[in-house]
Amino acid sequence: MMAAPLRVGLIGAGLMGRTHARAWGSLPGVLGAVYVPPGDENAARFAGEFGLRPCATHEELFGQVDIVDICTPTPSHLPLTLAAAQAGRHVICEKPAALSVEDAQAMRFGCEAAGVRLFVAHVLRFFPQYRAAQEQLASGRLGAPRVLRLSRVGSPPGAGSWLHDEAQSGGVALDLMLHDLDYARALAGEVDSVYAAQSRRGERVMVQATLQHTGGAISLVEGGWAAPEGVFRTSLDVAGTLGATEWSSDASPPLRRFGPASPPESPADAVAPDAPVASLPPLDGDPYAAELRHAYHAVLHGLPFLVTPADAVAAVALGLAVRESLATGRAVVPQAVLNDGTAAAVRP
Amino acid sequence: MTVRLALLGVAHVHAEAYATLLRARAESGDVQLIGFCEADPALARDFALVSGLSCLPLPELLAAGPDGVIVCSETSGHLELVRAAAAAGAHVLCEKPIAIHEQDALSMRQACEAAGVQFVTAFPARFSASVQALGQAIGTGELGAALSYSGVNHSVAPDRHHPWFSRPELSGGGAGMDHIVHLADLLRYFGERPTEVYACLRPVPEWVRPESAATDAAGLVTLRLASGATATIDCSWSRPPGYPRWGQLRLDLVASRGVVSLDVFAQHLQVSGAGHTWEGYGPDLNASMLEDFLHVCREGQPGRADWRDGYEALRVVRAAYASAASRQPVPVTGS
Repeated sequence: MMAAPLRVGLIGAGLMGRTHARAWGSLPGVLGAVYVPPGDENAARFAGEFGLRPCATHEELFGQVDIVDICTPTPSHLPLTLAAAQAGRHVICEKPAALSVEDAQAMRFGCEAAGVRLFVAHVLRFFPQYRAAQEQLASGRLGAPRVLRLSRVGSPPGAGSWLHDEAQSGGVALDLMLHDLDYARALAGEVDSVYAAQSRRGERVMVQATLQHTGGAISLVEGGWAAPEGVFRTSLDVAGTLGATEWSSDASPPLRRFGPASPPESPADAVAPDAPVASLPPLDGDPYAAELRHAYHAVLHGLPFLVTPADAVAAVALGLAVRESLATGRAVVPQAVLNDGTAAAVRP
Repeated sequence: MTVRLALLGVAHVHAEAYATLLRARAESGDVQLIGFCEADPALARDFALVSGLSCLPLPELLAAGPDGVIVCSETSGHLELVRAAAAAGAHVLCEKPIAIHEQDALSMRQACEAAGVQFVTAFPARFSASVQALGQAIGTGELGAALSYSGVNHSVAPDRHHPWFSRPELSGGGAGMDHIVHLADLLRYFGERPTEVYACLRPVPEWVRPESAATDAAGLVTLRLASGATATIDCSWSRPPGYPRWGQLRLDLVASRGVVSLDVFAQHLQVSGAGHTWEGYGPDLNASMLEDFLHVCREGQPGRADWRDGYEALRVVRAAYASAASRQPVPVTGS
């Protein structure tokens, strides 16, 4: 096989690391190495499974690759991004970029100063139905956006998941709703007011947020870790001055099968001794593959990213505004995202 | 007994449907539709032609002694018609919202109580079997505790055929006045009580008649509920004129033990020809509501949605407008 023009190394062998490793499979030979800290059996097994060179230190990994793909819990994004950038490596980083606008800006401008590219993996933009809706709006057929409805309700993360720790994940607002907050901003522009209400029942939580966009649109963004296990429902509705488009995960998939009845599960199969690690299901037109191919080619050919570092910072600001509104019970103004790397971000 | 009914005002979208349903119902012999009154001569003429009913001056219509009246005028005219009907001893079925301001609604109650007649609010969604099944599932507690409700009552702007809907002096407002009440009432029907309301209500000139450019046409409302749950209502006139139906009435519930999706008008045929429409089938909610009102007229007992239900829904609407004006949430106190 011809050597890939740019090689990618992965940090993070959890759910998102696995999802990315699979998705890199659509660019054969590109993903070559993974960080395997000494004694981390899960990461070592992961390296073996995907045929990746295990690297015992970040420095060793940086020495092997041109792009570092960071799929770790959010608090480590900033130090890993800066270390990779200082080693002259481009960065692909899972969302959210960070848990504060200041940290996200430091990632953005740190990469800029080091002369490397930063792509934050807001995968929703690469889901075919969300792209299609964005294209409908861009075509002018819907007119100017006026009311957006975006919903995302799944089951709570597994017991013991780091996502439950809001100090690490930012909770529903920054981890889950971030997708739709970014998408709402991509479609309807900057936001000058955010109001959110939340309810909790045990480990289940739902958040309902209203955004007011400066361009005249309003968005309802609803998200929660609240559904029964295995249930994941999303929907979008974009109404413009001239027309509207609607999609929901209740829509029929292209293939449905009714029978023959599957054979009853034997007790031995029910709990497999070596149960596979959790991973997101493969999708038609896999958005993760589309996202990583996009980022890879943009770096390779010096093309712009569909999601810019500034977009990723703005999404963090919106997620934080949701949290601030939940804390204060008031409608709040999101933190300004400055485009000057030398100035600190300020509150308006 | 034969129940004798009259339509007071026919400006509302639903007046024609009520007339059609009641004329069909009259064939069974126990319902008689006396006629209607309407202040707008052109509308009166058109409605008389379409419905085959006679238009009479209000005093004459009430002098005929109807057992009940259906108030379908512009919202601004409800109070005067309700007072006149109550004074004539007729039970009242009143279109929603029952008034523009709480004070008018309170005056209606006073008039009806003084006359000893029932006041029924037109909330047909309460008659949906799916709504009742959801209410039962909530009531038994089988779903666990509610976390959030997400309601959609968006539609094509009704002012193309009924211009008064977007004229605040007649309607009190736009989409917020028109479409918050149904979902606010369903939440009440399910036992929820709002404690705080936040709303964005914005004009969208492209969705309404040119003269109503400043009327709110886009609306997103958030309620905090005493149960600890939250709810949203999308009341927008956000469907384009080419939408296959007038709009939607849906409510998603996320509860601690399950997720329920209610689509009140899910039962429809997709019909394509020169255009594309969704044609509903199954029980007609307006017919069920009218049947309930006939029962009210016969027995003098309250209907399924009474004055209090109409009033509480109106209070949510008023709070939404107050919130939209201040751009902050406003409390709703118990009444």
